Amino acid sequence: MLHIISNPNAIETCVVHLLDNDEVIFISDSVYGLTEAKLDSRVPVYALETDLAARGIPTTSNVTLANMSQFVRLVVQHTSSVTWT
Amino acid sequence: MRSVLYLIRKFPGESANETIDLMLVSGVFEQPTSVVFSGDGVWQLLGDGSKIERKDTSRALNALPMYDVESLYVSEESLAKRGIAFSDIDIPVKAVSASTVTELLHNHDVVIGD
Repeated sequence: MLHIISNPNAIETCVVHLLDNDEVIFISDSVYGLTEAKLDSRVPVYALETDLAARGIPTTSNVTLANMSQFVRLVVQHTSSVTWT
Repeated sequence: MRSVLYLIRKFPGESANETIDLMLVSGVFEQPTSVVFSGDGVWQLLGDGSKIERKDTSRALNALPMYDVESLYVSEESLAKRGIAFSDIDIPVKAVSASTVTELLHNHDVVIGD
């Protein structure tokens, strides 16, 4: 399952509900929460590059940058997704 | 038919009414439908909005089983965190643990947030 996080306040709740084989992508204002987020190292984490750049947020090594078409690919690859708003 | 899970995480308000309408539609069309109230969404199970010129959603929520939406869940952690007693809830929901919520999120075909 793909977890799409759009709200920084939803990060904590999302992390509680992660399972193996899940992936996480940070979009819009949720990227503000990236630096202090306690992420699960078992789960691949992506962030929309434009959303980081637009807000001047530095990239960290444990996060893979994604563009819009990579985001679309993630959505299609997973059988389902949940958006944490 | 694809199963749908409605994940309700927001305070009562405008979007709550619209999401409840969506749930009723899912039920009417016999789509296997479940609803999880978690986080601030648990507040939707309490009170009477009509006292402050809001819609009273409790009648619509109580009607869900009649529309074939019979799987209503509330996160017991979210209730505990807010000091809400399960016995204060007048809507036919089942209290479940965080790990059950995780399971529900993963075993439905579609998850719709509010």
